[in-house]
Amino acid sequence: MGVADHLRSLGEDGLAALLRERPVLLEHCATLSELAYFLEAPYAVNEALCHTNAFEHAAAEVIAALGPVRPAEMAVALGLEGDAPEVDEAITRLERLLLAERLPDDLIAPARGVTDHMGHPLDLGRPLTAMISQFDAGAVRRAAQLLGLPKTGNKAALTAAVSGALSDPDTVRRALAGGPRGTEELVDRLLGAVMVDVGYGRPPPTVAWLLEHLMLVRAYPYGGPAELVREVALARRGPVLRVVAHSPPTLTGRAVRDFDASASHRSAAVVPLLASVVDVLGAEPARAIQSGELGVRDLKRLAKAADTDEATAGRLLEMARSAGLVGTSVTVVSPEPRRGTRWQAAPAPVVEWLPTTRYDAWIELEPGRRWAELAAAWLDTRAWPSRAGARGESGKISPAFSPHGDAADAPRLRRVLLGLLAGLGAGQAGDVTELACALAWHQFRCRAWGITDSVTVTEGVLAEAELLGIVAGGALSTLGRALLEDGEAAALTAGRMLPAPVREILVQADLTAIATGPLERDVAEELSSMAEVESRGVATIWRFSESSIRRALDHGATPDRMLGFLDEHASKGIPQPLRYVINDAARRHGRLRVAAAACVVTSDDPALLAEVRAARKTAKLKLRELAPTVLASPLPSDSVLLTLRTAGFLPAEERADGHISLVRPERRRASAQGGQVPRARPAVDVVPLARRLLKERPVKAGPADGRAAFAAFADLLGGDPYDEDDSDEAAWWITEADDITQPAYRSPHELLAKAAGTGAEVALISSEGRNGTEVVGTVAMLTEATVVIRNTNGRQKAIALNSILSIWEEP
Amino acid sequence: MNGPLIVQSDRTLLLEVDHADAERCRSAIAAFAELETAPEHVHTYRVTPLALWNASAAGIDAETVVDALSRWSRFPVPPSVFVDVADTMARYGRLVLEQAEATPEGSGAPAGSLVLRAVALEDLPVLEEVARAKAVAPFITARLGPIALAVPAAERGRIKQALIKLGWPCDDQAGHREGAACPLQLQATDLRPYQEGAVTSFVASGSGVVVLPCGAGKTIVGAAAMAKIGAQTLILVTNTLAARQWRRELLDRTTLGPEEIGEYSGERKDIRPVTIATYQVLITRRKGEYPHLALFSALDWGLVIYDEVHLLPAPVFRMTAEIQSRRRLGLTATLVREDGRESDVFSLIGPKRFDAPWRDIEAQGWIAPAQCVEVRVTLTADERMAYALAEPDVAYRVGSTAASKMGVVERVLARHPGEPTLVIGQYIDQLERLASRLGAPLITGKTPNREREILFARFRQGEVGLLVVSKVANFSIDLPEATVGVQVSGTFGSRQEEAQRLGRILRPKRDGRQAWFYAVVSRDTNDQTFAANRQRFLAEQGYAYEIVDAVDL
Repeated sequence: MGVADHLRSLGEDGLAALLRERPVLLEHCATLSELAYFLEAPYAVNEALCHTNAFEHAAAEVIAALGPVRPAEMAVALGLEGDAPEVDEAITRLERLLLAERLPDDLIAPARGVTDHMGHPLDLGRPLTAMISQFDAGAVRRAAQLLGLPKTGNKAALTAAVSGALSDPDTVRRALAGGPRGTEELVDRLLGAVMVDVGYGRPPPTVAWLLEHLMLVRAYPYGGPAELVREVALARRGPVLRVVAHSPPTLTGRAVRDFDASASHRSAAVVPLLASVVDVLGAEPARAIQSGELGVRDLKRLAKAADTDEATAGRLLEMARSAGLVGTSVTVVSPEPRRGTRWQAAPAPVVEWLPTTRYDAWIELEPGRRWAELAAAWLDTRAWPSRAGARGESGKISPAFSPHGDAADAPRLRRVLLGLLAGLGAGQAGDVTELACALAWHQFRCRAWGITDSVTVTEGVLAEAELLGIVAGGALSTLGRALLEDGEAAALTAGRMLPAPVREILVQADLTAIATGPLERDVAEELSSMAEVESRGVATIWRFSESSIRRALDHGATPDRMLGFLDEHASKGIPQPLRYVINDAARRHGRLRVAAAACVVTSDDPALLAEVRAARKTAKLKLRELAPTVLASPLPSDSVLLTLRTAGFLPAEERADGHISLVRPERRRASAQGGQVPRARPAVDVVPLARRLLKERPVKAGPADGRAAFAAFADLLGGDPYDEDDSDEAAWWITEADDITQPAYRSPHELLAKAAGTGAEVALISSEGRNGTEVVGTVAMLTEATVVIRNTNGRQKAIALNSILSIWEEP
Repeated sequence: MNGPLIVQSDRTLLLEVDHADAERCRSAIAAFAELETAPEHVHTYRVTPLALWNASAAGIDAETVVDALSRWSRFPVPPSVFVDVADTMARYGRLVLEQAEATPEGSGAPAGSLVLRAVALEDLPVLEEVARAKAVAPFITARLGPIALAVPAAERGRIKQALIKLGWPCDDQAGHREGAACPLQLQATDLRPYQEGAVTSFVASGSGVVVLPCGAGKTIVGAAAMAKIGAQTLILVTNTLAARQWRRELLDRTTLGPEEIGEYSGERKDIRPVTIATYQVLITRRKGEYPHLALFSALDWGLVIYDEVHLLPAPVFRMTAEIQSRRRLGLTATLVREDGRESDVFSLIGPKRFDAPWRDIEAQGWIAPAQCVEVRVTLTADERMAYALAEPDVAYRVGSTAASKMGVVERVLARHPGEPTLVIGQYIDQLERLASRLGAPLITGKTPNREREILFARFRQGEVGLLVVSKVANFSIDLPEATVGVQVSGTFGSRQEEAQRLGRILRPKRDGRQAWFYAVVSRDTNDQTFAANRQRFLAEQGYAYEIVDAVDL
């Protein structure tokens, strides 16, 4: 029965169940034929095996190695009683996953594709019949003769006969007994290994004997690796082939005190902490390093500014990205053309990580919902947040948003782990090692195990869950349970548990303001514009200082507005010293004015200017007096402003029209889609889909089928079928690139050839060195790939044309 | 969950003082957290390792601390804080320093050694860890058993210092020498309840520090401790004047006679059953030696009192390390040291035995409530120019000694006619000008002690209403009737100096009058910047603070 027919035979419910079980198939079910084709692909077989636990996996191996096989034989091979119900359950499950099918006469066979893609089930080599191309007819005839079989018939028939003989344990034992001394021991040694290197040249007598009897078959005619044929291995290994526990390891719980209080503290703390990391990123976006990641330097900066460590900052950033709160923005910066520049390499686009528009919406949500969105995004993300900011084996901190971090299994592993904790009962913590073992049993084969191990995964997931308050002290919290139910329940529970935001602050005479609970965002933002955050936690402490008030004045605040805001929100009033300090700073603010155009420092107060000029810290400004009330500096206005402020003055920046310029922090955002990490697919109603697929009329292989097959193949080539189509972005990028290419395009080679002809001096920048190397001189020699420039001192330098970033002619 | 306390994950505790439960919460947390700031609405405490060890030494266990935090906290307490508290407190007392019962034959330990012992067999790793530490290993003379090491008695202080640096403070149970007897009694004076409490908890524990604000009667606590112990006593004070004042108080309030009290200072070197010595004379060096070190062993002292522990100079710490077998009492207004050697106070003098927050004592009426006023003086154009052109190293002086301040000081004094007033400053020439302009006597470091004492006596008796004093006024002289302090210049905003100056005028007033503390600063100079630091300190201490323009006086 073909796969398509089999799918049809499942019926609507069966097909729906399959799609529900293996969501990856949803990407490949445009037609039933496409689905059928995909199911036989190695990727699909592997994917299906990822859904098996250790026992089911062993059962699948037994079927692949022995199939078709009876359940009773399987039970024996798995070390169980002949009528063990576990075996039947495993078969049903494998059948549902399309890894096995029941044939008539109570025989179980591997599904199509499984045998080919399973590798070496039970660590067995291939059967002799599968290796027929690796030996010639003479060899098999000789083997038949040695085994006492008739040596007539064609190669296939002879091979089948030899295979049959080697399947009989008695025949094998008798034959081995006749071999050179040590042959039997050698075979038994090889039982655990699929391939063995027999070397080149004349093999030792035992190996030669085995090769002659076709018990060992070489991969290549003259040497190298050889494979022990499956028939011999099975004949020697005996009836029990693999023993695997048919139920998961038991877990022991440890009671955790006050787990829900800890969890609610953590869940209350994580949202503001994440917001502070993302806000820092918003104030100064992080330029992606070459691989597109957010580099360690930026990670450290963000961690420091948010008062946390790199590992936590990394986890938070990954979670923020999963929830679509942080993304990339790509800009192509046209370089400033230098005078006389004739050719310039296309600049690399600048990729920056910054908050998305989604972040602005998210931050306005009520606290419970904010937490629930973050937690749900974490549960489903295919990134490993714990990898970012952690120290790798080399001791180096890993950057965030690694493109290698995609882990399709991560959502499933997370759910399995949290499910295990849920099974322990309320307030019970599990042991990390035990959990890791159970996880490895439940998720016996998953791609994650190729790059990490279950202990690392367990530790990472638990640490992330602790950060979010889903787990506290190793126990699943009430919040965590709600999250496993669904997002809405989580939002409601979180809303109940998180402290309600406040709008009132206490302002004290030591110039601090304290919010005794999470402060509403608008109030917090306004307050942060005029005071510095001094301590963070559930409560936040701000400190007013002359410089923080100066900054607010720079941003356009007036003393009246500041005091009005404080009057409104300070529940115990504004202490007199703060009122005085604000008014005093406003009085002093702007007494010094700095004009950008001419960079002039002016003041109505000559003594103040004299003080400015005399101050040691302003010496580097090279100020000179234009009038008793005017000083000028050759330096740009921003450095003048900075230096004056450092020297303790309170200058204001003046626009050309004489007004004070107002500087507001710019708010940049990435689009909500930029740089998203893929998430586990949202639930799709699979029943109507299954109905639609089954309505298709069965067709013979034809053009339509071919197209579907091609599409499936293209998907395979494309690697990750989860990847969003980013062709829009690529197209846009090409347009941008076209825009900056000058119409009269001439290649570097042409330009240099012309310069060589005229003997003109050229200047160019090559990409050597950190910021490029500039070379000036005449062209001494020019080939297709290299140019040799001779400078005025007669020194020569060879430069690869493909390393040239720009060329211009020296005047 | 509606408690008065907010526990931050950086181990600070915020106490909302207007909350109904604030006082009950305060008495619960004061045992294991240091008060950092106490402005009007929210007081900040910090749970430091030393504070926790102080609590452990007072017999408080981690469970009590955790319960107190959970009980009073408004929000769930950060789990890390609980872990930290339990871990830190578990480190105290795992090792005990005690007298050897009998040195086993052949152990190699010299006679009279002390024993550094792990409390239980589980604590053996701790003992092994410290025994291998570079700072402790040289002191170990022998192994006395599986969990006991012999250490020389003479190194008792240094071992305790080293252990606290390693994070395993030991419980010093090696006891004290009784010392030679010197019976004395307090004259019929009623101790205030908090003074009684301080004495009782000190005597019960042997050695340690009593924290009381300036003016709260630390001297009498010292005298009461002497009476309870009844042994020869060495009292270490900051300077000669303080020494005289101790002497006077002891004569007034105890049965001690003049012949029993000796002064050991730069001027006199009397050693009597009760000897008062200055830090200054102890740390005098001649040819690299401390010639007066012998004082510590001159008599069989049964008690050593350290006045103003937060000012204890480093060499005295070293000397103190040698006399760990004597009872030690530290008296101070604050455990905060500008040099950060709080852990030396803990290990060498002893843990904190008593603490009363300033504001509480003030509320009980023992010290005068004070109103602080910063007066900002606008300089004349000439003064501004002089300040502007001054070299950076003298700019502060030029700014803070501006002549415009003179008139302002006069106007301030005019607000308090007839009230005993101190004008305090840093720069002598400024004080001289002020003194001659105000017609007031001037006391500086150059004024002979005799003359100072006469002037202070006349001030106390009300014969002199106004004194101009330099920084000599900062420490331990008693001017009980000053109700107004005017600071015209200070040393770059040191918080400790501010506390001292304020302490001058915070002595209890007979009629419960309001005390005033004025700081006159020059607007738009760095005098004002430094004043901002002092303002922060005073506001943090909870004093009413106001900034006014000189013209608005």
